[in-house]
Amino acid sequence: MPILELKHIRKEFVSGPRTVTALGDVSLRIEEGEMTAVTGPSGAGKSTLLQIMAGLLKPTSGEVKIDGQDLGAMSRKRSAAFRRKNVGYVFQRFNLLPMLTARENIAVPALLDGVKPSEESLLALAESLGIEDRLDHFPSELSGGEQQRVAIARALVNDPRILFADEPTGNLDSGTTGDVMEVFSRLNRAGRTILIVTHDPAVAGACRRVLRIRDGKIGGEEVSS
Amino acid sequence: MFEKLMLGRGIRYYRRSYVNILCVFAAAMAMFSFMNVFAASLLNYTEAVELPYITRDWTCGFRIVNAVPGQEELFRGIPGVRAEFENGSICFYLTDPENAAGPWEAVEKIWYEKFRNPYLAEFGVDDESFPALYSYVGRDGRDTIYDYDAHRNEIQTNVLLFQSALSVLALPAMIAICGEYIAERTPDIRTLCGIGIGEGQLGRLFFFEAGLLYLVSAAVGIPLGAGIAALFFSGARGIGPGRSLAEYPVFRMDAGSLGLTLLFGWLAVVLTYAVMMKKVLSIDAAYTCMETVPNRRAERHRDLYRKKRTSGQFDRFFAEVLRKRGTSLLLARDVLESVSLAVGVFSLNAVNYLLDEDARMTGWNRDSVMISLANNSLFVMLGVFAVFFSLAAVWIFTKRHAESMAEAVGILSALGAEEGEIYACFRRLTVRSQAVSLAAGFALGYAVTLGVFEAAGYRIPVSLPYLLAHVPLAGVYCLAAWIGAKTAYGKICKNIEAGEDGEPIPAGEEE
Repeated sequence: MPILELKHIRKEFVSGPRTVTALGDVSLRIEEGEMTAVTGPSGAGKSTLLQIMAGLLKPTSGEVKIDGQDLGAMSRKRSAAFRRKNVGYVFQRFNLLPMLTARENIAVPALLDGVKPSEESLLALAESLGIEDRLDHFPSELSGGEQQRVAIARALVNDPRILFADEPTGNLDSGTTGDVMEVFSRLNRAGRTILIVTHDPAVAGACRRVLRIRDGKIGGEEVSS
Repeated sequence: MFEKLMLGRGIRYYRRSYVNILCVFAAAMAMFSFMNVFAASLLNYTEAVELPYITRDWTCGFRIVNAVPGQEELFRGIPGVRAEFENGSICFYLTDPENAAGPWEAVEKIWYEKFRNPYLAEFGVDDESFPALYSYVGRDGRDTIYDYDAHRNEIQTNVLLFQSALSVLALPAMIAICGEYIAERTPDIRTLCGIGIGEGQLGRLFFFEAGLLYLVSAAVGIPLGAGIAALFFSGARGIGPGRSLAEYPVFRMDAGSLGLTLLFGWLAVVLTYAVMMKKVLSIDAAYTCMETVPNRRAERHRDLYRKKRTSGQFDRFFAEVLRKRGTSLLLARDVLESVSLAVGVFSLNAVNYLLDEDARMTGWNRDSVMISLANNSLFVMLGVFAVFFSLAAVWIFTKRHAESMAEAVGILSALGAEEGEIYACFRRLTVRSQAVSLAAGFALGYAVTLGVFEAAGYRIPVSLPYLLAHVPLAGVYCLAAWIGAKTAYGKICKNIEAGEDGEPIPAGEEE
């Protein structure tokens, strides 16, 4: 059974008198342990697709299933709890809470579950991402690369089965991009399912499967061995 | 755990917003507290004006006013004094005016033992809350007291009317300032939604905030409002009803008025919280959905800007841009100002209506005006309170609007606009907003006035003093708007931080 399955997904946005079709009849399956990139030009619908897959956005029509569970059939409350446990999401602009330290930002998803993560587990996670000495700093005191690592750590703290990343290297230089991609590759080798939206060919090249999206439809797919 | 962390850190990070919210909440609590303490004290006052008090009188020497027939017997037998009951008073005639000290002490002793102290005990006070200073206010003054008593029901009806009007004034201010706070916190809320925060958790987070704000604003606002009422009933005797009751403490801050204040405040906070939560829960976790709608290019903005600048329409064009970008704040400010002005107009007419025929402001002499003010101090105080609350709230909204415009100002600056040009946009915006608010306020005020007083046959007088009274009323709002524009907008224009050149100006400035 695929870990993620999309059936006939369609998404429309209404902006005044205009209706913009962001996605038109997208269907796909992602198997567990895959590392997949979604690429395409600006405005093609990549981010919308990712947000629908992660349950952040409801499709106009169609069905999204994670691990066999239909996200559309869930209440808002249940969907939030399900996402906390099963989905990690890395935002393009990091989206760290500015009033919290890196340590507290990482802990937020666990705290939302009513669990205070142990110091050892936080430290181990931070060490795996190379930010162990930055844990007591506020986001404004961190570089872009460090902020992104904190965001990745936050997405991983509840040990989700699937990790979504929306242009995770979009605001980073090439050196830091390499470091972040190395982190993703390591996580994938450890068995984590990862989906990355990117328009960076180098990032897409690091993924085994690449989906090309254009005008809201999947226009092609490449799978490297 | 999560709520505690977010609350603790949020207060420090968003302290400016919290201070603004607290100012508005505390002002609202002060207003509720003032109204309820004032009403409780007014009840005491209406009781107290019927109590006996001792005063000097030019006809007989001394007099106990509001006495009961037969009480003069208590003073019979005092050497040098003849006590007679006349027209509801016990009059003391000194038989030997040259040696008045001894007889007067004897009268005073009986007065204290048989009248004042029992009445004070009956009145529910253990100690005097202010010194029993003797004050001669004259016959006119006493007449105004009797008028006040005669108008008791009318006054209390009007207190209720004012309470409603002031509540209507406070709620939009509280909701608007919280709305602005939610707009500032939207990115955080969006992130939390993305992480998977539940509706209940989000609700609890803001509920704790609302509770904390309520407690702090009550701690600040209730003593403030009660303090103003206390000043009015004791210290400010020159213009208030307290002046006639030097013998009796009429100020009262009892459990009922405190409870009612807390209840009013809590209801206002809960209503504000409900509106706030509706906004919070409508925030979507998806943050880029509308990025699929192509943004207009920066070059187009530059062309548009150059075109407008060349055609001399810069002020008009960008004033409209700035107005559209801060619609909710400006609307709240304008509504608040209009309602507040309407309360002021109603108050002015209420004062005018309640004056005696010969004391109306058709004449312009000091005594007439002072008596009018003393007689109708309730309306004057409530009107003044409403105006000051609104002015404070209007200033906070102007400041917040200016702060929210900082980014737009930076972009305009990056496009080449100068400080003076940008300030001219704000000035234009302020003038327009002020004109609309004043017109709406006067229209609403007179509509309510005519509606309320129609049954009483009140006709709006056309006299110079009455017309002149509108000038300070409108003037204080214009002055506040001018100060707001100079300080808030002026500061933003002076501290321009140029935005990234070519960054698109967000929606709202399209032709």
